[in-house]
Amino acid sequence: MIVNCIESAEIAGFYTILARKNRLLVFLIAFAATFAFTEYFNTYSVTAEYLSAVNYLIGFAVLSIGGAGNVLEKIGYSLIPELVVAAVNSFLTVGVSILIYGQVDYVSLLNHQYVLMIILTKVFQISLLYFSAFKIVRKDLEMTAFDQILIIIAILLCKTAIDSLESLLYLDHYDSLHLGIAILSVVGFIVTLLIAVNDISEKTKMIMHADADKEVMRYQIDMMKGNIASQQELARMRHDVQHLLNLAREGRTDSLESEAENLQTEMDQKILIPVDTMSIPLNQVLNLERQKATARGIHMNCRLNITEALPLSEDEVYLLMINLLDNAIDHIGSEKEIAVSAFSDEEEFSVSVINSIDGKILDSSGKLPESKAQGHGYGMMTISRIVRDHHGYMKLSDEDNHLAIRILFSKKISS
Amino acid sequence: MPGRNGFEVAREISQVSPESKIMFCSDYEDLVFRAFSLNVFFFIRKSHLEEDLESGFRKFLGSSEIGALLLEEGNESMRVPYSHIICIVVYGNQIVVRCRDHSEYLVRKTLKSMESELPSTLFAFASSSVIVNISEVERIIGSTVVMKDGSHIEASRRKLRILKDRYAGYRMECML
Repeated sequence: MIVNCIESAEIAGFYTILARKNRLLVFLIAFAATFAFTEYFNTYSVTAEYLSAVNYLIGFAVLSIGGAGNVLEKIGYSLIPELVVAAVNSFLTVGVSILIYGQVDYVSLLNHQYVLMIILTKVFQISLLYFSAFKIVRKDLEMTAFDQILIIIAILLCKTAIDSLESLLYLDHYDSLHLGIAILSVVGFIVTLLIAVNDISEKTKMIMHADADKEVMRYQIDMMKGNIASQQELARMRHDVQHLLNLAREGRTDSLESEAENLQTEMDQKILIPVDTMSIPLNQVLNLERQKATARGIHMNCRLNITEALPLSEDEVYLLMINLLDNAIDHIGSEKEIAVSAFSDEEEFSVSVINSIDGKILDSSGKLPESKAQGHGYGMMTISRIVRDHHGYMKLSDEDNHLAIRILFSKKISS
Repeated sequence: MPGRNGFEVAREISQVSPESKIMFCSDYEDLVFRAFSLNVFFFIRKSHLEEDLESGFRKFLGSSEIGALLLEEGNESMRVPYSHIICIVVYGNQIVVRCRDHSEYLVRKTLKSMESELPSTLFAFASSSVIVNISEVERIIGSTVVMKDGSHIEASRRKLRILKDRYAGYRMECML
């Protein structure tokens, strides 16, 4: 009776934490109903088995009184105490029995280690229930209705499997019905797991797309900043030229000569021949990244032969090129050289970015190790995704102190 | 070259001899070429002449196309340049090396042992009975390998992926 009393109190406590109103009422009803039901079934069985469904109904009812979430949430929450209690009891019974006796011996355990088992199970149950309630109340778990349904099904299947196995374990005789139900539950759980894996994969893809969108936005902001800086630079140079013209008009040749010399030196350092192919996004990325590279003392050499429109969308060209070049700049070696080649005709588009490195950089599987800096790692992932989406080919090599990433999109190879 | 520029000369060379390897040499540090369709083998910057020229020749010498297959039959031996070979096919318990000039060489060898003598960057199995010269492949449509001479070779599903990967690798080398 004391054990049932403690168990009922811990379950009632779990529901009370989740309740948003009528907490005292929730505790009292949950405690009384759970205790009464447990006392009732204990008159003829150790475990509630499939009758534990009654406890689900009690849970759902008290959570409704306590105003804890929507219908799906209440169903899910009402399943948790039974699952926790059953999982902890089974796990500890099997685990402790094997540790002490070297085999599963429920009868000996009950006769000789009863107090230890009660203490252990209650401590684990209360900790897990409190932890679950804490996570739910803090809203650490965000999930869709579909996820909730999957979890409800998974919990029900787990609980059914545990109930079936418990009856075999505690009654110590072969029962094909319980064994069959356990097997079916496990198979059902596997199916649920597969659906969940598919769901997780879809969500991961969505996250990756969202990250790619963020990258585009970041690039656009960078480009805007670059444009503003260029405009300011241009305005300043116009002012300098105006000043030179004024000096010329006033006939101050001495000053004119030295000022013109200064301006020429400055222009020699800053002005790069702009990349101008028929692909506007390619031009923009290359011009911007060349400025970025130059500012870091890196020489970027471009060899471009773009005779046809690229087989990628503008966004994809931005993403592909910016990630390739950022990657080259990030992994630059002491030689500080980057060679960019791009070629397109009516059937193929290929691009290669080769940057100097010090030694080898690729890991044993031929992959580029992810940078530990925040936001890194998505670059290569984004490149790979674009290559995969367009059935392209990518080759990485790190020979002769140079890291080369070569990419090909070809209509000459079709599936 | 009065009245002509390097691009025009390169285009003419390409037309007369498509197999020629063209190296461009320019004063510009940043070579930005637009709207010309030439298969340029290497670019040399005049400011880095010595270094780039060396790299260009190293690339040429490293190119698998310039090697040759040594065929021995009895006391006779013959060198068949890789660039002349279209494919090598099984013929009974022998193999036939088919060349672009329609000549064929019957060799008493297995296809597997022949494959080990060939550069893997240039040759690949299309099926267990055919090795193709990748530089002679025009395109791969599904599992059909279309050769530059217009012939078709059916690739096996097991070999197709490696063949496509090697062809893509070869195309990248050619274009970049």
